[in-house]
Amino acid sequence: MTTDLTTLTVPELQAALKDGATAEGITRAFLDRIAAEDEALGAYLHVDPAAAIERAAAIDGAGTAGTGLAGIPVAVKDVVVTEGVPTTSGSKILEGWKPPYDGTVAARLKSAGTVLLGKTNMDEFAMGSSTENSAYRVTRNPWDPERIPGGSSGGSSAAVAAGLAPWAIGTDTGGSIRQPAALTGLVGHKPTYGSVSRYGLIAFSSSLDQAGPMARTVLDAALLHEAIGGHDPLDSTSIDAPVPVLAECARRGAEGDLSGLTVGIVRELGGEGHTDGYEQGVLARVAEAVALLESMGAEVREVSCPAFDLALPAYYLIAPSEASSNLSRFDGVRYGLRVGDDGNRDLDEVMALTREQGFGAEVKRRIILGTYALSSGYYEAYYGQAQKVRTLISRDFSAGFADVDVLVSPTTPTVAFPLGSRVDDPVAMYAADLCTLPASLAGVPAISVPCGLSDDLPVGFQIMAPALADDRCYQVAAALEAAQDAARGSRFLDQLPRRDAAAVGGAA
Amino acid sequence: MEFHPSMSTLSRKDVAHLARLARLAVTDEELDLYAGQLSAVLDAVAQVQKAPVEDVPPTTHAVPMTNVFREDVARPSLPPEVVLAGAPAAEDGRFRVPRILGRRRDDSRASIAGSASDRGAERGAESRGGMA
Repeated sequence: MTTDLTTLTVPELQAALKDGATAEGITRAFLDRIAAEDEALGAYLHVDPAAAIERAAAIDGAGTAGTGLAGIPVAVKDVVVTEGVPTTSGSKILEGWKPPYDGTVAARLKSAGTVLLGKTNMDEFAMGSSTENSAYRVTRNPWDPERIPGGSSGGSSAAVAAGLAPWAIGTDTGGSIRQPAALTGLVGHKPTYGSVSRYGLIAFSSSLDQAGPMARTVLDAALLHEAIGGHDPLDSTSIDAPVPVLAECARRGAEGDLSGLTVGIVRELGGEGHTDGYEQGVLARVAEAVALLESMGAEVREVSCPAFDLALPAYYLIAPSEASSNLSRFDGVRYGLRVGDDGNRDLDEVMALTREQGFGAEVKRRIILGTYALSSGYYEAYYGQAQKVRTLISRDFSAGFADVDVLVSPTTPTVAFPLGSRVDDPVAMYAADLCTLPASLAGVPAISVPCGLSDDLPVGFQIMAPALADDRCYQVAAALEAAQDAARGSRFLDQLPRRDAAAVGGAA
Repeated sequence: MEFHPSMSTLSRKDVAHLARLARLAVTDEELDLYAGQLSAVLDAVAQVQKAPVEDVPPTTHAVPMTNVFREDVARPSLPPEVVLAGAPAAEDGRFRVPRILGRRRDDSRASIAGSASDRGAERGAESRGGMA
């Protein structure tokens, strides 16, 4: 039986490349699956098979495939601008736009020799938790096609979980890497704010946006993070610090010794008295994961972070406020759509018609909310107050990290919910981000790693660490992953094709 | 401000005013929808007002930084034709914009009725400087 290249981890792909496989062969294997399955899955917005094959062949020709990441395919969320490759951020207002430059994340992946498979679907301008706000198509969860893949990086999560990409870039503003990773059984990491360049990310909420890896394993995520991380003079909020050593921490974590590590369970995120909205199955899997960490030598205690209760309201003021300002750039003048320019209408009218037609409902809701929160007379009561709550949340983290090395929680209160079930209720949709918002507001790193199934759907376990201590996230996540893989006898994602194969066999 | 919503409620009129400020030519149906939905959202986010924040400074940014400098060295910019290639309308090596001065309606919000008929025509107008 030949090896299915689309189920391999990145170190396995690197080994295959050294062992005679070609970048073109690997790229074709993923393109074949995209051609066969993506019409139903909806993970990609743009795929250019000829360009991908040409790129892979060039890397084979250069003889570099297998060194570092050269020859490894990658999918990139459509919020990252890519030179000459259509980039929409999931919005009609940018339909057909081909950026004239590469964002830093895309440029670093290119210079590492990776092969761009395509641009992945997302909630419009990354505003959403289900990818249902994409202006283009629905993305389905590979574990259950009637359910959401999470959002806003739902195209990336679906592509990797289904084997339509070995790994992918996502972005996280309030949970948009971690929540879709959790709901599709992936590892997803939101780096410390400022540690991965935002240059060339189409901005949603600038004080929160951060790109990061979504992958099949903790080690894969660490390798991808190392490839994109580090200081960038083109992003003035970029932290001037060396690229962190992460893959080594993941390997060390997988050895399973957590003695000396102190783990804090956040009471406000699913703990006693705070279980409203949390599914029992999710809480049970998380408790099992904590017990597993304890069995590997970690000391576990409960930590209270009272301000986390206000993370959701603070976030849904700060993010829309920044968005209402950031999205003013879409004015129909320099790029994208222009509507109603008939020679009679003035600029204001053309702008209003362009934005009305080019933006979807959630984007308009957030622009209006942000405009309100920033208006004089309401600024202090809403935006100003939210910024002070942000300080309280950071203080809770600082107090917590004075006592423990990492804080843990569920990544999401529930498993993936059915498509369409929350689209008419923004407040219910926002609750999907309940557990991921505190780390976003404080700018600290946080990873989601699978911790089992509930109702046959993946559950994510979140590990948060102090700023610039991303290595702790990887170390603890790798320990948990290795222990669970050993108990299961396979990797988490390997359950999915096996289950599907069994279902097909059973039906025959 | 010309609108005075009670806390945590946005009327249809408030939403219309905010949409005008944000240059969104929203439809009547959207006004109905958003007024209800945004009132529910405002109810939820108004909880921040309960926070004990006396003497708490605001956080504008997770990583406090000021005065990030770079060397004052000239770098090449993108060529004009590359930049203008993505513009909805360009003329003489510049972005062409609709009229910005002159006739002004009482209500600066563009009429909704006009938008539908313009949708098809718009795409063809690319970079030719309009259809006049």
